[in-house]
Amino acid sequence: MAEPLAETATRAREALEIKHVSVLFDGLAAISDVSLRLAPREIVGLVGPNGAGKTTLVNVLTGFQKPTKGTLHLDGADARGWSPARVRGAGVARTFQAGRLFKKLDVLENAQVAGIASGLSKAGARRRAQDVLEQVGLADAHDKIAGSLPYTDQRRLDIARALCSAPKYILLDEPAAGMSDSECEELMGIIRSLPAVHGCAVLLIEHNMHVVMSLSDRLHVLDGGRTIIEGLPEEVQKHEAFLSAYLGAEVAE
Amino acid sequence: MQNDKLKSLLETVWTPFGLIAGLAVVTLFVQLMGTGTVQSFWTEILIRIILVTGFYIFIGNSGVFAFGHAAFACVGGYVAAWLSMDAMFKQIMLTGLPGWVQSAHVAPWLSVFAAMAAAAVAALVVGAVIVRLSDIAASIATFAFLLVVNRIYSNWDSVTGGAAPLTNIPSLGGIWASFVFMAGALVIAWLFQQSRFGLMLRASRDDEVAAMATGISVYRMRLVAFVLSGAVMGCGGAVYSFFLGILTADVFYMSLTFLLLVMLVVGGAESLTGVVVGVVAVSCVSEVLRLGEEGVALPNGDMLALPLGMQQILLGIFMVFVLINRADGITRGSELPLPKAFRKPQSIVSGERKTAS
Repeated sequence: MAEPLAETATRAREALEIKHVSVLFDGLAAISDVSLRLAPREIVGLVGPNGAGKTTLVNVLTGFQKPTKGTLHLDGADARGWSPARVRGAGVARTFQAGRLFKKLDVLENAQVAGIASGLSKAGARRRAQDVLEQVGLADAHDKIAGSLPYTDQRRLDIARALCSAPKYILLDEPAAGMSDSECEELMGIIRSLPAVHGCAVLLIEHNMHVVMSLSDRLHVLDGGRTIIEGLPEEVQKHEAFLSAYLGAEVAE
Repeated sequence: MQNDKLKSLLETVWTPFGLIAGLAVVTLFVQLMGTGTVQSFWTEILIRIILVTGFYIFIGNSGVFAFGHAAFACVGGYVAAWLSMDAMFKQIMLTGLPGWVQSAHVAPWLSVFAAMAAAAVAALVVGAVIVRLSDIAASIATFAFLLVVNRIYSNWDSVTGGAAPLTNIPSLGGIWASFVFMAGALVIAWLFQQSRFGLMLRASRDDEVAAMATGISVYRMRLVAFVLSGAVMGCGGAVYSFFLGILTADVFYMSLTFLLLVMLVVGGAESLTGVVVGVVAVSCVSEVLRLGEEGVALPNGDMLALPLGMQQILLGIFMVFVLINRADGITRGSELPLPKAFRKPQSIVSGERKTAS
């Protein structure tokens, strides 16, 4: 409240932001009092052990889950209660842990339909899809049925589909899960290029520490539905709470 | 480049073109060679293709099973009959009809379009509510709608004739008149499934959550398909009532619904080719079974026949048999393949033929 009004307005205009958000399922808190801000063209890593509330947070940010408490603002507009399609139309795209491709459509159609949904013509969406598929390394797979793709290609197609509607913010839910080291490197190259090539900010949920640490500008660590640390990767890495909460849980698994 | 363009154009139009051309050849053959029975058997197949196409436009693209579409055929059938029947009959029998409908004497082919419009309006009103429901609730609700429409049409004596059938409905013309509307239905279905709406709807069929995350308004896409499929059902109902020449509400009820859905599922509910394959396959099997029920005379004068009712039972068994072997129907959701000769045009670069590696 102490901030000058003009500064607050500028800050609020250009960001995907939640403040003091809690989500309760049958009285149980999946996330409690979490605030997170994703500014244009930055890469923020969201980490935490399984069940920390990361995916719930993504659901809140994309309109799939209405927060029980707290606010959601998208470039200054109050986006609480918007439908997923509306949030998507306003520039927030996401990928899914489970892939969730349109599995009976072919690769090109999967990407193309996202462009169409964002208002492009069929031909325009097709051109865009071709470009994006080339960038993620699926240029040779246009005619393949999405459901028949190998797992890692499905992940890449999921990202391509999200990119096809030219999002301003893209939320990647464990994109590197199940990938080999070399596939990871390739994926990291793609993610690293997103702000520059596509002009979008990235919220990266990832268990692979190497991936998160080397890509993120900032880290946000959740545990038990609460924010335990926020900061630069190198700061967070040294933090005791991070080591015990996150890595401890990983080791224990 | 030229080749690529030609190839993609050919791929775009091949399915409806191939299907319609194939059916045209059979229709011509039937017209030249067939007896009256064969001709009406084939005409009924053509009409069933219209009706199953109506089901398919919604079910095939949205993945939501709708059981009530026969109601739109009923709406269309009656509109076509009302508009085209002899004015005298209407003034005596259907006193509840508005005056301008009583005195109307519209050409049958023109009244098919009126039937489509009426069915589309009905589908818009019903669909606006039903399409909001979740998949299973929507299926049940469409079924309830069919029951409601049937009860109304069966009992509104002054408008529909009630239990007494409407008779003396004029004929649309020969086998080719039905063929033209059938071809139109296939083209409409194909244009829709190739359109941006069709693509978005098929995406939502595969994964509704991902479709929403992609910014697709699933409700709107489903409603568009519902209205279009209603219009095609209206067309089928109109053409069917001209074919029968006599109409009761029960024509468009349970047994027709069951038959059409069996055709759709057996052929493969996710491709237009499946519609044609399903209608032809199931019609032929059921015709054979019907003849079996009529029986054949043995040399000693006895009749050897299937017990009555076996047609439905064996048709059910046939459907189970197909589905066990091919859960996605005969076509498994794929379309008519392009003939090999056209499929991959040999890459010819400035007159030189590339050597195959």
